[in-house]
Amino acid sequence: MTAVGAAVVVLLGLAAGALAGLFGVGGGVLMVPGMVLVLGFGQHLAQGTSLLVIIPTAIIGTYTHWRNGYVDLRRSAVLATGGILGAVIGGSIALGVDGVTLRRLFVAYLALTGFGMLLPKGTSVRALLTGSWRRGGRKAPAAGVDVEAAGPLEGEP
Amino acid sequence: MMAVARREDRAPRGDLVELLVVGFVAGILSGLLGVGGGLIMVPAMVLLLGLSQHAAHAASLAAIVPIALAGVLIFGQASQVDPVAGALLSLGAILGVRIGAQLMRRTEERRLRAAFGLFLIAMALLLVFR
Repeated sequence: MTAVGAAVVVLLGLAAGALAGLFGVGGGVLMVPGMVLVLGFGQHLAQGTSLLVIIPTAIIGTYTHWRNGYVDLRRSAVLATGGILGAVIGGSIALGVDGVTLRRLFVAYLALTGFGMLLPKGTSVRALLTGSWRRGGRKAPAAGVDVEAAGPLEGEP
Repeated sequence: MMAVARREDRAPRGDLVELLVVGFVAGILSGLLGVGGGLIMVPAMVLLLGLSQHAAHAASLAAIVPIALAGVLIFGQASQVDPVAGALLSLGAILGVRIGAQLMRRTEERRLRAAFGLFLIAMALLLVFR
């Protein structure tokens, strides 16, 4: 890799990280398309490399939360137990399908995430299903996918 | 900044099965699509277990580390991980996340979120027609 090439890759990481931090999404949803579209990676290689990048960024995020007293190790260990099993299955499925099929699956996930961003912040799945997110505009979001809200769940008007 | 988490942010014993299932579903998504899985875990824990956003984020981030590691090992065995690109991307991403978090405090978000949503949909379309 040339110095210019390396700089492009660092900048891609910077852009993906900044957008992820700004909008509260994970880096993977930006990193994978970035690697495919900018670096010309195949879908499998982009996804595998994305998982590698997620590790140090999640460690730093965990450290910040841990310092603030929010990390419950038992809870995370149970989540991770289910998660590791799922990741082995999910990863094996990914490696078992061709790049085109895998890309289609990823595109569906990416489009859904994009659609979610078009809804008012904090729209819960329940509010979406009942249509109540339309009423009252931005003053009436139910507690749900809101990154900032730390309030109780039953906040729906 | 809170020094100590609220009492209800500690896990009661009865949440075991829910946590396992939430982790499992997020793990499948993570391994299948190369993402962290936080987008599923955080709302699931808020809605199903009644956790605060902070507690859910913290639990999700800490769990993502071993989940992503499992995925890396699976993809690595098939030579589908580029360690050099990964290291360079990580360097940029670690700096970028800080910049993004700083910007978040200053921006009026509503339109920005919609623009970002359209950007993601545009990327999805680019991937389809690539």
